[in-house]
Formats: sequence, structure tokens, C-alpha cells
Amino acid sequence: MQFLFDFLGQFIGGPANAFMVVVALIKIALILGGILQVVPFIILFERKIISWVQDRPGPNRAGPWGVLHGILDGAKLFFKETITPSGVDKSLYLLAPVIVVIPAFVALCLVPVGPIIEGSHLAALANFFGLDPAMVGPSGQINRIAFAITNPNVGILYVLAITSVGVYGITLAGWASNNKWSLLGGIRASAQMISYEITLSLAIISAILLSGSLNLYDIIGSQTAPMNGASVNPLAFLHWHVFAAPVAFLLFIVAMFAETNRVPFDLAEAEPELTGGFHTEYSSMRFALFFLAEYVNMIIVSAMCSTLFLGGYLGPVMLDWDQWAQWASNLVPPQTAGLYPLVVIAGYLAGPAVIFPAKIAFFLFLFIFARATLPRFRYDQLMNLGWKQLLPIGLVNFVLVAITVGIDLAIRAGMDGGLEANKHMLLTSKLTLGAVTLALLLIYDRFVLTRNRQKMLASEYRGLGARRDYPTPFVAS
Amino acid sequence: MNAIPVLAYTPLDQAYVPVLVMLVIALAFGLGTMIVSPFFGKNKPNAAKMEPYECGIPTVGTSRIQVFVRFYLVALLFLLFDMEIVYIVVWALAMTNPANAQVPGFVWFSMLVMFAYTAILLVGLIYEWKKGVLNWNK
Repeated sequence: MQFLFDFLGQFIGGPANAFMVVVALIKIALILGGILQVVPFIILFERKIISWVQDRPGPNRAGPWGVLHGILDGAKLFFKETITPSGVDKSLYLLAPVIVVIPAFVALCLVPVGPIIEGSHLAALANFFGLDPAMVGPSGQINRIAFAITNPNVGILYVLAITSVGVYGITLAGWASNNKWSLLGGIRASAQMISYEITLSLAIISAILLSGSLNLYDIIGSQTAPMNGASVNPLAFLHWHVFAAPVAFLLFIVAMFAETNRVPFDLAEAEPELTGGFHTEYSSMRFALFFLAEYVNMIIVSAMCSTLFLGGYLGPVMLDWDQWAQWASNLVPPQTAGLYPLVVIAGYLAGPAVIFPAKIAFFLFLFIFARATLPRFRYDQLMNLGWKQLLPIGLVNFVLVAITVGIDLAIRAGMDGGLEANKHMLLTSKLTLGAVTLALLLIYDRFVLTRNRQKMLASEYRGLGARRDYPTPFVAS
Repeated sequence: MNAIPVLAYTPLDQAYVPVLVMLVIALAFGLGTMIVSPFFGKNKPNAAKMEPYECGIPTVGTSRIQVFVRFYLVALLFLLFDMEIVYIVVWALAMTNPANAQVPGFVWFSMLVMFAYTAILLVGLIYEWKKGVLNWNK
């Protein structure tokens, strides 16, 4: 295939550039195409799960088990009338959905779907496709191919920057629509998203501290368990950041619900109050863009949460695939070399094909389950939660995680016998401090937050004219 | 805290080429959908349909209404805290940098500085809290 890149390289400055662009296009086609295929089925599962919670069968007309509903909903939107109401700010009205969709798509570029191919495996791959080893190979111009569309050094910071552009689209959509509901929805969304972005950033900083890098592959790499020559490490999951910083993980989950405007934080499009919020005046495919961006954003924050705290594409049990490949190729009587590359390829694909989608599916289920079971916040409750509860917790948690990391660095600096002799000590100190942080959060909730909540409810009931001795409902345990 | 290997990432000049490709695709997808949308489906506008939607009753007044000033205050607070978070990110990278960790006492000194900084942040937050900036139902 080298001739293809030689030919294309004449136009864009060398075959390596051509290879890069072609590989980027292939990755975009796989990742973006895959996600656009999956979104209708997420919507179907959302409707199904909500209907199971409400004890009804859910959509079951189109196709067996209703599998075609998601796709047909999209097709229906495509053939709906497109209404542009009078009095809208035409250019901003048309631009707003595009501003919402672009960050969602661009942030997809950063998601680390699977491991990096390098070294002898990259050489074998280049050899298989007949590529010039000076272009693609361990010592070539391109010496690493990641299972991510791109892998810049500032990774997580870039995702944070790109995704926060989306708030402009929502605010502009609300303002440009010339509709009171839209304006209220847009303003609410902007205030809500920027409020919870601080909590989100503080949670992300915990992961940055624990891994010492902004790069997403380094963050995953710091959650890799040491193998020490063994073929399997059954407790590899203990190295995930969720155990060293459990409170940051919880903060991230709350903030990611708020950032994607999902229940219980969907005040931007609260149906009973605002009919549709910022997208009230959008119809047909223009509405579908908002809808699509919301689901792509859900997938992105789920992927980021898995990457930062749940080890990304790493499985809960670590296997040394080279050793297993060796074992498999020895298994078949005539020592076939054929099994060796197959097992290695399986090792590369296990992350992107099974483990990472499973983790994302878990978070998507969480999104849907929350929507089916939780009531919506009132706006003052939302702001109180963001600024008066999550932000102080985030700041204190950041200090505790910094202490965890400081102790870790001190152990590393002062240890005798190298990393190997002290790995249990490193892990134990991290896990202990994680447990202490979580315990502190529970104590804070039990003795401070709960009492404040009861006081607030009681004062609200007095404000409503209830008798002083009226029993306050919803007394949290 | 793993040692950061040199050139572990796509080099800077290559890293954003795929982003550019994706940006072009996203722009084409978004703008294309917005432009193509009116050509599909029926198109029968009438005066009532073109009105801003207010649950079926005739539109009342202008839609460019005034909004609660506290939204603006939240935006100001966000700017302050977001800038502070940018400092914290830089500090986190400096503190965990293996090269800096070789300097004796660097880690503990930098942590002390950052705790003082966080304490100032918390005092500021408590001040805003007591001043009632964060109260939404008053």
C-alpha cells in the first residue's frame, strides 16, 4: 500500500503526512460513524428502561422488540416541516445548533478508545500492509499509532476547553429564538453549566494530580497495574483512580449530569415550566442537531469519567497478552504461528470493543436510570448544591488528594529497594487515604448537610404558613 | 506519577491535524443539516404558526425580557474560580513533575503554598456566601 501514500504525499508534503491524514479519516469514520449508529439505540434503550421502571412495555410497534423506533424517529424528524418563526435573529438562530454540534464532535477526537500500537507490533502491522519502515515503524517518522483520533499532550484540558464552547450555542439558541421560554432556558443553562464546570474541573484536577499529566494516555497509563512478569494480575482494578479519589469520582458524576443538562439538572429544558427551553422554536432536523449533540455529549462525559477514574479501556483484570499468545500458539500441536498474532490482536481489541463500551454503557444506564427515578431540582436548590455544597467539598477534596499524592511522592523519593519492593506500600497508602476521604464526606453529609437540609425545609414550611410544630416531611436519614 | 516519557504524544504539529479534519466534517454536517432541512417535508407557513410559541395564546409583549441580575453575578464568580483553577492545574503539573521532586523539600513546600492559596479561595467563598451573593430565593 506504500504506493498510495507515495502518490498522495506528493500533494501534502511527504507520504508520512498522507498516511496521517488517511489514518485520521479512517479513525473518524470508525468512531464518529459508530457513535452516530449507536445514538438511535441509546434513545430506544432510554425509552425501554423508563417504561420498565414505570411498569409498561414501552415502544414495541416498529420492528421486533421495537428496535426500529430510534431510527424511525430520526427519519420522521427528517421529513417534518422546518419552521423559522418570525422575529428570530436569523443568523444566530441558524448558527446556534452548529455551535452546539461542533464541540460535541471535536471532543470525540480526544477519546482514548484503545491502546497505542508501537514497537514490534507496529513493525508487524506495517509489514502486513506493506508500508515503508522508514515511514511507519518503531524507528520511522510515525512510531506510535493510538486508538484515538488524536493524542495531544494537553488532552484533558483540551476536552474541557472544547466542551465548554457548547454553552455558547445553547445560550445563543435561547436568545436568538425570540421566545420567552427559550430565553429563560438559555440563561438558566449557561448559569448552570458554568457553575458546575468548577466542580467538574476540581474533580478532574484530582485525576491530574494522581497521574501527573494532562495527557489522556498518561492518565490511563498511571492506572495500569504492574505485571512483574506474571501472566495475569487479578487485582489490577485497585489501581484505578476511583479508589484513590472516590469523592472526586462522585463529584465528577454529579457535575457531568449538570453539564449535559440531564435529569435531575434539566432545568434548561424543563417541560412543565418552559415547554422545551432553549430549543422550543427549533423543529425538524434543526431540533435533531440539539438532540444528537446532547447524546454525543453524554457519551463523551461517560468516556472521560471512565478514562479519568475507571482506567479507560483497561480491564479490571490485567493480562499479559504476549504471554497468553505464546501459550496459545504452543497449544495447537503443529506449533502454528497463526494463533500468536490472533491473540495479540484480540488483546488490542478487547479494550475498544468490549471493556470501554461496557464502561460507557454503565454510565449511560446511570443517566437513564436517574431520569426515570429522580425529580427535577428547583433552580435555587440547583445553585445551592453547586456553590454551597459541591464547591467547598471539591476544594477540601482537592487538598486531601494533594496530600495523598504528596505522601506517594515522599514514599517514592525515600524508598529503598526500588519501586518493586514498595509497590504494596504505595497502593495501600493511596487506598487508605481514599477511604478516609470518603468517610469524611459521609460524616460531613450525616452531621452538617443533613441538619442544614432539615433546617431549610423547616423554614420553608414556616414560610408557607404551616404551624411551627408541623412535622417536617422528607427528613433524610 | 509515572515518569513522563519524552514524545509520548503525537508531536504538536501532527496532533491537531485530525482535529482540523474533524472540525471540517462537523461544520459541514451542522451547516449542511441546517441548510438542507427546509427542503424536506411540507412547508406551509401561516401567521399563527410563525408566532413565538407561548402555549397557544397570542404573544404578549416583547421576548427580549430582562433577566435576574444574579445570573450575571454567577458569571463573574465563575470567571474568578475558573482562573484560580487554571493556576491549580499548572501547580499540579509542577508538583508531580519527577524532575522537580528531586529537589529536597519541593513537594511539601509547594503543597504548603497551595494550601494557603486554597484557604484564601475558601475564605473568599465564605465571604460571598455570607454577603448573600449565592442566595437565589431572596
